[in-house]
Amino acid sequence: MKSTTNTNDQDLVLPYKYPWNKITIGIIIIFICAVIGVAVGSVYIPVTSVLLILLSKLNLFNGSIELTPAWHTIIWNIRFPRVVLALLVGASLGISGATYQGLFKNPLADPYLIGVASGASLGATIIFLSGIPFTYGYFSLLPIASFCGGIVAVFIAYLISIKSNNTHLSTLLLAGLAIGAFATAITGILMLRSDPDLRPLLSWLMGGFIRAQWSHSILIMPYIIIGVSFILGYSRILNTMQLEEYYAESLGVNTEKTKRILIVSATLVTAAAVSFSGLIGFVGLIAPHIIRLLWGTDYRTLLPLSGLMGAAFLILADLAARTIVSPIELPVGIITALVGSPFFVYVLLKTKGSTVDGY
Amino acid sequence: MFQPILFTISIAFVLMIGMASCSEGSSPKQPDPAAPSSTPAPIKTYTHKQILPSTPIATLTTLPITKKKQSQNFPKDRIVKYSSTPSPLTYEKLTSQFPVTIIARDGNEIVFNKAPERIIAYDAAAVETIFAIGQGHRIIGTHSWVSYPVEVENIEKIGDAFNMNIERILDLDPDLVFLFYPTFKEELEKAGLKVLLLESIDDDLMKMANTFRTWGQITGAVNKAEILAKNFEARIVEIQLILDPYHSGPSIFQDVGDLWTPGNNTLMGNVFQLLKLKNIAHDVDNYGQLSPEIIIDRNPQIIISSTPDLLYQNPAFNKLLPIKNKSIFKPNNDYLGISGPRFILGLEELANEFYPGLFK
Repeated sequence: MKSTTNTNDQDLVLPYKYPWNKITIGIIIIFICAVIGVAVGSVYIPVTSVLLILLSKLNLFNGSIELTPAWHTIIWNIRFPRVVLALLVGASLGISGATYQGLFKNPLADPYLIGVASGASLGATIIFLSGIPFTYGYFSLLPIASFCGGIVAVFIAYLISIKSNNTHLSTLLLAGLAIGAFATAITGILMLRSDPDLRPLLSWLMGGFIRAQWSHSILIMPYIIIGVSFILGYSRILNTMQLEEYYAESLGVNTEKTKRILIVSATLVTAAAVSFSGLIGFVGLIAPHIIRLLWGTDYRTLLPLSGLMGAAFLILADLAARTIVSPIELPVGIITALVGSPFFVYVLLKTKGSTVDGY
Repeated sequence: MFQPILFTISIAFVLMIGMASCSEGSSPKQPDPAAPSSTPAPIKTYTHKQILPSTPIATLTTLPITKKKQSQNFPKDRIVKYSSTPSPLTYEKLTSQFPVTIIARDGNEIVFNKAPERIIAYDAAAVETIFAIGQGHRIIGTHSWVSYPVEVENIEKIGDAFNMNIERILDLDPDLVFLFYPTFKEELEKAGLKVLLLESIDDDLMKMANTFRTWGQITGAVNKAEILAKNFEARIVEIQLILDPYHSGPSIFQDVGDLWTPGNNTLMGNVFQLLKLKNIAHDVDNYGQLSPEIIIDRNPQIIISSTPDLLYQNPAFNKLLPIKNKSIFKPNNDYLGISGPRFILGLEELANEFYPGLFK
């Protein structure tokens, strides 16, 4: 309780006001980012044409779109699905990152550090290399295989932490790290042993949205909605989990059950994000910290805002990745690290007075 | 204007002599262009017929002169440079002369006092070349990705293309280690081994013939190497002459996996220029991952890819002509992927595919 500051006490006492104004601002920012993301690209298309193409898709306009079928394809089949997928993946990584940080009370926790993403990509790699057709209309085995891989990784880490009698949150983190490294090694072996003809498929592990299609967003949407609603539903309980466990239990919280539900939900969300965009680091780590430094550690505010932050950040990062060295694309992970870390340091310095505690 | 004609004539001339002396002196010279070399290939699995055309001289000499006049319209900046203008008019049967001095990639001279007997060739193209000039018995080690010719099965594999077991190399005690990239060069040299890296041929297709000649000099099989090189050059010239009257061919996009594509300053970019195919990735330096919207905007008429399914599946591309017609060409990776004696087969495969009827 020593670390609990006055503001936190007030938050617990005063009636909580949901941060609708911040969320509204966040949604507006995302909307602006998305518009920029659709309007700008390596092929120049005038903004008016972009608007006309989008209006024609909404059946509000039937004009001379047929004159530029290439532009139509670029806007509707390349840029727009890309922006939407980046939005979903960024939001997923932001929210699951914040959840893991809160759950493990550790500022370094993020989906990539605790082995979830490595496990998920191992699951996806196995599906890729097994040669079974994994897409059936609007159903795909890929997110499910990723989820299985991710949940197995977390579950093993969880068992290890229960077996050892240490303070099991840091053990869980370290065990997750070890499992993640192990899964990455297995993925590497599978890739080396694989049929050379299948290797191009595996470049998806590098991460990025160059292959983004509408169907990808539709395929991962249900998993993200289910996972995110569980996480947001538990955000109030996640606040109490920031106390020592026996305090939380004395408030009537079933800590073991809460942990399990939150781990499964966050893993589901991460796995969905990983399954079509590959490994994109840094978003899940940075977005929650920036929100935490700016607006405090209340998870009811932190979780949704981290999602919005992650989404906006990833849309812009992907925009940069595909335009900076046009006509070539850069891996989006380069941009997230290149832009993310200095910005993060800036926020750290700017908010020197406030505390990063509260895990 | 003058140079190409002289060049062609000299090539034809040399080829004639070359074909005749193919039998390495055992048979008298009978320059009958119609009859293909009857010499049995030294190694059964490596058939020279595959590499050497049956009647190359006939095709070369029957090329009509009228086309030469048209060639005056040829773009001034000739894209394919002749880095190796041979002086074949004085061509005689070559004799190998040791010591031989080879210029390595870093500019240093490497001297061979005699042909190396125990070669570790860490490069598929080098292995193929050495076998093609009948010196395959000298190779004692290579890497596990090399699979041609069949004899390679019996050669020890010392790691894969990017890793090598240096202890095993020292144990094998080779008198030459050929490398394709310099990662292990210093380490091997420190251990007292003779290491060779040759000049990169990525910027100029024609340098490949010189690589063949270099291997001939090193192993002493100068005549066979000269035939291989001359044949390569002649077949390139043949393609150039046939395409000479045409100004530009269709536009092309090559997907080497996940939209990675070669720019103009690569070996493949060179191949496209030779075949007068307009590379849509002309502004890409080396290899790069081309933005999908750029591909749609530049609308390639030809797509080549070894994984066409990924392109067919992406709805963004389904308005592109090669995808609508399901006509993505899947080239034989063994040919164009290895800059050895079979490279020309890959080149001719592309030429036949994209200019049907023009080549025979």
